[in-house]
Amino acid sequence: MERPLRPLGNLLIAVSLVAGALAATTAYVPRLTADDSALAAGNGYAHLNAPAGAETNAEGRFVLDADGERISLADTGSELTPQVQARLRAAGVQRVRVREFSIRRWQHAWLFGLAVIGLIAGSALVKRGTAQPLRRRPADRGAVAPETPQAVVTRIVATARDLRSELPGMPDDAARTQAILERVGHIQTELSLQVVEGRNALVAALGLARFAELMDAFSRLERVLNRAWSAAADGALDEALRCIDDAAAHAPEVERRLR
Amino acid sequence: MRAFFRDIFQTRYREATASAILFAIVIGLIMNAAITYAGLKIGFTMGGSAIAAVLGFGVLRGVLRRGSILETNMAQTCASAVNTSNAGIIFTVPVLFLLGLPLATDSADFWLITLAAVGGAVLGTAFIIPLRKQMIEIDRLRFPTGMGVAAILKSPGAGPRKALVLLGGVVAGAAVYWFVAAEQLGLPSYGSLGIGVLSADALDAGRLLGFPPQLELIFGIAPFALGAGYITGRPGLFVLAGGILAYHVLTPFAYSVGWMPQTVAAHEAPAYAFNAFNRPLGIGLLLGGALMGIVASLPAIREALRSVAAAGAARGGGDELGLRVLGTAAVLAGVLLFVAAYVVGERPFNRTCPVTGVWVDRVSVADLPAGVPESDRRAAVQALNAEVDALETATRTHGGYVVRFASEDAARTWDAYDAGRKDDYLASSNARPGWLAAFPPLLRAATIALVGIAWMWLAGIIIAQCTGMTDWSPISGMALLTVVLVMLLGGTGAVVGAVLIGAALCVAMTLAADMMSDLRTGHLVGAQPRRQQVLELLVVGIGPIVSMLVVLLIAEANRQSFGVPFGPGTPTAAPQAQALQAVITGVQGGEMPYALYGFGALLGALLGLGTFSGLGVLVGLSMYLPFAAIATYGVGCVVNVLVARWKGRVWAEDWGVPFAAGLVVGESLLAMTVNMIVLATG
Repeated sequence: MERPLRPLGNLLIAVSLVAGALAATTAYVPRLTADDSALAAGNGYAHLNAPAGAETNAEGRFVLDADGERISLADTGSELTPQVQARLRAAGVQRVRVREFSIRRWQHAWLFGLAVIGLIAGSALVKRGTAQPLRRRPADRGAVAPETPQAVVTRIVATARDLRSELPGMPDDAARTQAILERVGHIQTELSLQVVEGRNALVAALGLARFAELMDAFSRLERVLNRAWSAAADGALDEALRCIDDAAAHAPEVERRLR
Repeated sequence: MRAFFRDIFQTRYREATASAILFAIVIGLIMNAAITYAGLKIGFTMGGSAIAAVLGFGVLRGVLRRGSILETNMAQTCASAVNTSNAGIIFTVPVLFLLGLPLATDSADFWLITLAAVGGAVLGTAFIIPLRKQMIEIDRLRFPTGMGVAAILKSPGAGPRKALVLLGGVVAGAAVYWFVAAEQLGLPSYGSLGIGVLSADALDAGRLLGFPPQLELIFGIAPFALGAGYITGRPGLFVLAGGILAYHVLTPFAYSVGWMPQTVAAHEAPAYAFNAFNRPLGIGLLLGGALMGIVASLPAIREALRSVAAAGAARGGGDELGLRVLGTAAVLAGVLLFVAAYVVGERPFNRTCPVTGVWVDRVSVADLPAGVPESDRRAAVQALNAEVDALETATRTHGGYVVRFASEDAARTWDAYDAGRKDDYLASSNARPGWLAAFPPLLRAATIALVGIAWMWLAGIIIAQCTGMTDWSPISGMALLTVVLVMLLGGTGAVVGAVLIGAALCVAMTLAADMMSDLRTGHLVGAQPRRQQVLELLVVGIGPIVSMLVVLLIAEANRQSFGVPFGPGTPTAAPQAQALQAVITGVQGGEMPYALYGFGALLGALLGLGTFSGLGVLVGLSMYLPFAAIATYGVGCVVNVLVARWKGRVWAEDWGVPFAAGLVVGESLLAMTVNMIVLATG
């Protein structure tokens, strides 16, 4: 019973969006009803914002001007006086585009209203459908499961620490450079991606404000690691090592905000 | 201060260097001129980051043999800052020429607009800086071009195989785009192959499949869009959905049920629908979605600002420029906009006396009719201006406008007119009073300045969000809204003022998005944000000056060759300025469908309540972009999803992104080269 909520909500949002957009397109396109006063605006009548009607010949084909364009019965800017309305009605014109908006003339206002309700209801279903699986997930903040984004952040922090402790013991600069390129490269191409993809889970677990605090600290560590990679790729090993030290120094702050 | 600059230009590891800045300014100037020309010709511009990154490698590493990844990143940051402002200029300024209000180097308006645009460039950059943490670090917006540029910068260190993949993308992108660009050089292009469904730059798949003409299914031949779509990935599918809604649901449905005039033929339906409802609805959706996105991001924005403030207060000032920059920028923006609004607002709006019909405004060469021989034009201008200067003009205020008269007598005649006659004069001059018409001039200017600051900040965020999520920048839509907003506040006759403030705000918005994209690249390669921010602020004012001069140069060349500065009949049709001209005349004539913008905004805001807060932005953005671009972009997104499913997410990123970045670079490099050839050879 809980699982279909999200797709149902998304379907309702999609249908409501289409309905709302379709309804909105008629906001300035009132029907030419038998009642002339329906097109009253201010002291006179509404004005056309697009040509209305098209001249046809005896065979019912459109009459074309010298440029091959159809000839309208009433031009843009014309006031829709009863005479103009009558002429258009006689030619079978059912709708016209006008400059002035009026809710009274908007035939599909009801559909737009339904679409608004549908969007709100659909969003509520989606929110509920998203929250339920996250609520069912055990919120054990002490020992995170290996697949969670929290665990991935922990692995990235550990990589920074491990690199700092292992680099001095490596045989030469080439080995140090290679280690930085490989292990930070792994963070860049795989682990960071997993953190980004786990955003919703992190927000659900920590709340948006604490998530923001975590990402603030994590991103600083990530950026320093990225700098280490760039420096190593450029052969500037001193800078790369300094960045690894810097990253390791940021690790406790990231861990504190993760808890 | 010395310590500050010592840190910016540290020598431990090459990052901010004189050679990077010099290279950036030179390449930025060239790109700016070439892309300004291209934008006036085809209606859209391109970012220069990817081009600058590739050329940076060639020059800094290949020629000078000492560049680092971060130094090249700094070079592309500065080069794109010098280049990017052209979009804000060419979408706004040429409209003055189209409306018969030409600019020239001897007119005060030209220098006022240039100054305002320079101010806008600096302020837009400064305004967005405090939001780096929120957009890049907390919300993790992708900024596809920023990611692509990072892939380019990292390619040598990522190993020869990835560099080859990137190169393969560059070659493929350039090869596919060659037959599009070739048309500009008069060489055989896709259009000249004689294949009915293939135009110069697009494949009409709808025609191939027998779709009715009102149902547009066109794929632009644009490796750039394909690459950007791939890098965006799954979220970009929402953009495709918006395009399908506009072009495959609303347009054909409205046509088939008679919601369009009978004068509109089936093949004209997409263009009519675009202007009548898709664009207003799309821009509305975009605005509503962006506002909802900002509301939803408030906790993240608060945390980001708190963090930036804390870092700024720390010893050494932290890794980036602090909130003091934002405060200073807000004050400077306020002063700039206030002065601009006051100076322009207090200038007479009319060029001829409403009583005598005598010319009362100084003229420039561009004001003279086409029939005046070139050799006589300077003398003619001097003579006309001598006559204007000799007048003892007088001014009066009515409906919030300052009206100039040829003499005090003429002004007294005006005084005797009743209010209705004066209103009629304003109406006949398309100068309806603005919302602030009843305010005293100083208060009116102050209100416009305050609204301008708020709009600059908000629109900068909207543009940066759009660019971050999709790589598309809705700058033309924002330019349109900006000019409309200023005209509504100041009055519909204040076109020069609206364009002046509009240009400043649009340049600010484009630079905000550029700064954020460059900071995204910087994050991925480990650049220090503060160094990027300082250098961008140092060079960003150069761009608008170049763009303005190029616009003027092209206008003058066109005027001499074709009799008109821009528009139909010239090689530079300035399509976006034509669209803005239509909107300006629409506002003056009361034809703007404001309700549609409002309904779109409501739908966009409500869309943000569900799956994710930026959904309205993605859907709205695509409703007002040409479907050809959306379709190709969507193909890129679908390919990403399929590759990720087939080879895994990591493989799709690791190998696909460099190739996609190559496609972006291939098209950009070729397009810029061709534009430079055309610009140089006329």
